[in-house]
Amino acid sequence: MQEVYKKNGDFVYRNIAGETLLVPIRKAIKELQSIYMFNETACFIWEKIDGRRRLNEIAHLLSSEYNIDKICMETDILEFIRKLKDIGAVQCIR
Amino acid sequence: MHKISYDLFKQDIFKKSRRIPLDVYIEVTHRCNQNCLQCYNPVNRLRDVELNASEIKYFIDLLVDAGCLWLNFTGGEPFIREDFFEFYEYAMGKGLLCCIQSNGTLITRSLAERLSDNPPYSIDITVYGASRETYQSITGSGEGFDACHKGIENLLSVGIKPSLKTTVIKQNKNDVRAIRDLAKSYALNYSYDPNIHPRIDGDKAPQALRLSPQESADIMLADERHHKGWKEYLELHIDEPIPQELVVCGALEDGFWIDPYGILRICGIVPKPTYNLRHGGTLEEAWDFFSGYINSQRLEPDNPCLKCSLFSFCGHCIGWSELEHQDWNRKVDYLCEIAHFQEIELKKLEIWPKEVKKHVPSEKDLCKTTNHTD
Repeated sequence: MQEVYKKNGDFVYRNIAGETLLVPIRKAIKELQSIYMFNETACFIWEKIDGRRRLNEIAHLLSSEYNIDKICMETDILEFIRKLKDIGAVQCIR
Repeated sequence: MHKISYDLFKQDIFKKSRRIPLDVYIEVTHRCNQNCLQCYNPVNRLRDVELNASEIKYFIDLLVDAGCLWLNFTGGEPFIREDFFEFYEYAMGKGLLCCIQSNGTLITRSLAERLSDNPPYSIDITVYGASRETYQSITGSGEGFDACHKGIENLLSVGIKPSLKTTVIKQNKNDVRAIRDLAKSYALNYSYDPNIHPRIDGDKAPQALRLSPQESADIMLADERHHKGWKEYLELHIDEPIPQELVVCGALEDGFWIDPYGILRICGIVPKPTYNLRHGGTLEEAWDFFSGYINSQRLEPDNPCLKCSLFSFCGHCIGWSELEHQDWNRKVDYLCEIAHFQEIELKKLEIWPKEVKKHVPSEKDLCKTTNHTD
């Protein structure tokens, strides 16, 4: 949880009709056939990823905002980060 | 986080609201380097000063705020604008999925390379013919044939796969097979459309170029790849009740058109009503204005289409009615005849459903269509 992540500019975070989305904009066309939808917690984490905060700091902010069990929360954050890394939306810089 | 296809996302948004302009077309210019006989736009006849890049970017901001996801850049020829990339790349950066409709003739290697930095969601290239002679007869320039091919190859060389399409008229009807073969040789999607209507400014010259209704029906059914789609469509829709509303095509359902002068329309081929966004106002006001106008329109009781079993099949279109008759309620004989020829041919091909129970409106239903503006 000490890692620091930054966002990849090839994805744009958008809100359309109350749905929060991550839109890939600079992939090859064949990879542009899907979009990624975020729930409220995912939105919170995404908005806190800034290339400076460590994951444990984001976890602390999340626990202040929501009443979530710490172990579950860390697991959720790591799982979310793994998915973001898989699609190339974030990269670990520290 | 979950992955969802764009189609599914669109359906989900539709369930929530019908006031999100998900899919918008912007004609960035009416200028064109080709001079096609059949073009539905009054190309190269500037009516006003075109939107500049800053204005287009301002419109893009409005669209993003309103929930637009697909932005289609069309024209005229979009690449004739030297500032194309200024607003195109701006739109990409805002998270819009950009689609481009082009004649392909201005797509140089360097333009394709720049496009590949921000590849469009889709790019459609209109191919007018399979020879220089056909190009000459339609666009006024045989060189367009070579330039278009070069443009397609330039896109392919940077990994962008365009879709090819053809507007079929008398001059190129015999080229369709060759263009289809060309698309096949590049492994590209190909579609064609023989439906020609008057220009958006009312000029009826293109009508003289269109195929006969029988030819048009035949050419639409000639591509066997689409037979399954025809069958599925017919099974789902042919016995749908005839609606009371006049606008049933989906116009304004998920977006609108913006012309090069900042004028909004509900569809590319419906010249009015219009809303001038350049003179102020908001997209929300435009939407309310258009919705109010559309909702006030009803099929008139004496409209012969009300008793037609092919209503859900014929391509009934307010734009065509307006352009041919200046009346949204008037039947377009050309579309009507095509539909009847298609019915005959689809029955021969055993694609037409065996049992069709069309709901024809009763006298009571028809009475509801009166006093629609009250």
